Amino acid sequence: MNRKTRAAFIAALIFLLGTPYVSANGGGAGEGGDGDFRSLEDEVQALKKDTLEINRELFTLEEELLFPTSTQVAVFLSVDTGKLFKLDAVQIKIDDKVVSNQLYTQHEVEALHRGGVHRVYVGNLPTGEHELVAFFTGLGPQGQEYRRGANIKFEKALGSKYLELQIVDMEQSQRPEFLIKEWD
Amino acid sequence: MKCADRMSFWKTLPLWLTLFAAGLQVDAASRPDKAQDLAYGEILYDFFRQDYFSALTRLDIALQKQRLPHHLEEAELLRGGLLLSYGLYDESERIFNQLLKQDVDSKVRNQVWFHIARIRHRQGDALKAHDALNKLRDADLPLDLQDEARQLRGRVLMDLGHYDAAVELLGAPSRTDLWNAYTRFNLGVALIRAGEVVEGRAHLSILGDQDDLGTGHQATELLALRDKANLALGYIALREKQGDAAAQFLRKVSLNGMTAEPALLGLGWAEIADGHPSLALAPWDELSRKDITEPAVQESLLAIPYILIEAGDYAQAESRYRLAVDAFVAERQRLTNMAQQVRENSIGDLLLTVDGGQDWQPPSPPKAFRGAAWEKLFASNEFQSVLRNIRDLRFLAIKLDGWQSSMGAYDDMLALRRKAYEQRLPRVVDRLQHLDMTAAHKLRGGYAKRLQLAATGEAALPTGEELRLEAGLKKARDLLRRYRGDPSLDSQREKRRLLEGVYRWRLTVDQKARLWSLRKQLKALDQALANTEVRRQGLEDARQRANSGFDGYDDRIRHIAATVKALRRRVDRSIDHHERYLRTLILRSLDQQQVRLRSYEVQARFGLARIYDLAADRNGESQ
Repeated sequence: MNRKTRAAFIAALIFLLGTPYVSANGGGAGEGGDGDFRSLEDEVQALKKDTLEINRELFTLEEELLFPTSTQVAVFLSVDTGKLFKLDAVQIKIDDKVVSNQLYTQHEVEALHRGGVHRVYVGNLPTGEHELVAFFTGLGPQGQEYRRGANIKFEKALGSKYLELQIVDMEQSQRPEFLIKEWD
Repeated sequence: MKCADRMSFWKTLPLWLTLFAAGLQVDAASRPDKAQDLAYGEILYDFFRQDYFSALTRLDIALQKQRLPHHLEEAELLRGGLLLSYGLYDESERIFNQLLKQDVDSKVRNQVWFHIARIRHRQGDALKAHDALNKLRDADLPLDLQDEARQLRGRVLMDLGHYDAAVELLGAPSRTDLWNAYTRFNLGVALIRAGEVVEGRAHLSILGDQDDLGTGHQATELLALRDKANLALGYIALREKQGDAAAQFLRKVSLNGMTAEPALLGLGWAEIADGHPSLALAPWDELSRKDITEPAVQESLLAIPYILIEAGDYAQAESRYRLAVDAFVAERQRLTNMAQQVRENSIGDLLLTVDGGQDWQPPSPPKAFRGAAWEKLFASNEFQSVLRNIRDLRFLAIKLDGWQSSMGAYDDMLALRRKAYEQRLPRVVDRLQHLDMTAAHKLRGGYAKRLQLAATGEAALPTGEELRLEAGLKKARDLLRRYRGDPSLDSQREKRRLLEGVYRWRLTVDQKARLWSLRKQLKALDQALANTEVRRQGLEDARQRANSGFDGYDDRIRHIAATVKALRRRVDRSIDHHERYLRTLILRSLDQQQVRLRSYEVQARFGLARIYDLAADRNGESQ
């Protein structure tokens, strides 16, 4: 090895040591954003935007074709704090016919506890009077198996009909309540 | 919760969610009372399941269809957060610039800008990172983020070449030993780069002499920082030909750390510079047994025989040069194979083991891709950003493929609806024709008039049975009138009068109840008529839609199918651009390593030739 190579090596190491600042989260400064890198970023952002737009159109089209407003009925589920009832599953019957059986993962239950509302069922019904029965399965206040039902008779008019199944912790009675709310 | 608090919470929620998605601090106990619009609750459900793509789609539709009347303000903010999670940084920043006003909780607002600054810095966009940092006040951040924010500011300033400003910023002490160590290191580097070498070295020396490192994770990080500082000081001293000082710094570097190899190499050179070439052998021998992919190890394979020649041990030197040549050839072959692998395969397939998932976790490099140069490249923000883009593009490709394959289903849905309409249409038309609403309204008018007369006492309200009874009484009255002079019928006359009296009395007594009942029935009739009118209108609409609605859907499906197809092609092209970009970076790095190894190999062969020449000279001299 000659001294010139050695000096070059030392200089390279000094450069390497000097370049990356350190952070607690790792990842030093990058190779430096050149024009190509920025154009790749722009390209991906444009594609993401366009894909999002087309998904929106598909979503709307599907809803219009499968569940037109005039016949649409949607059933939603919301959960209160979930302290008195740990949800496992919900079964929905409309006019004595099972239309939905939904099992919930821990991740989904957490999403409900954080304030999320799940669309359990969407379908079509003719105008007139109908009956919805919902069965909730899970663990009750003492951790025992718990199955309860709730029902509602509702009038389906020409517009969309939204019903919300609510699981509410009743602090006073220390029991969960299962309610069904009609939305206008 | 008070109303005002509740409103404030709702307003802040989207920002909390943004931070939650970013893995920053969120108040886990916080939970909104309840979404006042079902659509908003649905968006939150998707969001908390980390399905940001669906959440964003639902949010856009809900805004478009005005389904969020109670959450309009926060919906836009949430959109900004979701766009950020989805990777549409420019659009997200535009929204935040518009909506993150002073009335939004300053702690949350500051964290959002801090998060954006981190993203921009990771992207290598120092200017945008600087802009985002200028929108936050470090003092309004949670305590444990304040130091990190200061470090980020310092690094961004240095990226922009503002070393003096970085030195000024990093001069103040941090809250913890670890952050103090980071600050000191970055400050030392900033000072040296700003030309203040003496002061910069002083900071690195303080860090390099640190003995109390504590325990656990913090101790590991502090040790790594101390090693880096001593390594930097050692090489600076070496450059200034201060062998003794360099050796002192380099001996402090841990032999198990990330910087052990360059430290051992430098130590050998320091001993030589200090006039003790024999002492260089020990660190270099230790180094030569380490992984050949490390440049310092490669360097040591050449340095050892160099020292042996200087010491006159030609036999050992020859043997070490031969070992070096073999090692360089083998490593070059490994790099050639690696380059071939990179040329022939998809980079995504090589480097991304898991598709999908919303949170970006940098994957571990494959085992074949080992070596310091490769690790440095792989860890760089640029490389990670492009790799992440490939992951995201693959996600888009999966989505688009799914849509492409289901486009036929939309045609089927439409055909099904069209068929259903065609089957129902004749019945609809027939029912419309037979639905005589005028007659129904006329009948209702008659009932209403009758009720009005009864209410004023001008008419009674007999039931059907009573009407038949009244008809019977009338018939009897007419008959008896015909035999007016016949006394034998007096008892029948008396009986008829009695019966009529009872009948009139009953009508009078029940009049109020009858009026109430009739009003009730009229109301029910009105309701029934109104319902019938709604249904009639619905049938009429359906009839009209059947004629005109489907063509629109045909066009929409065709347009969407064409767009999806075009998008899919664009995604493929973009994946190709990204792959080419990464491939170029990798091959360039491999090429640099190959060139270096080739140069070392030539030097080793040259060393061997030199030994043979020296041996030949000596043989000549001895003969």
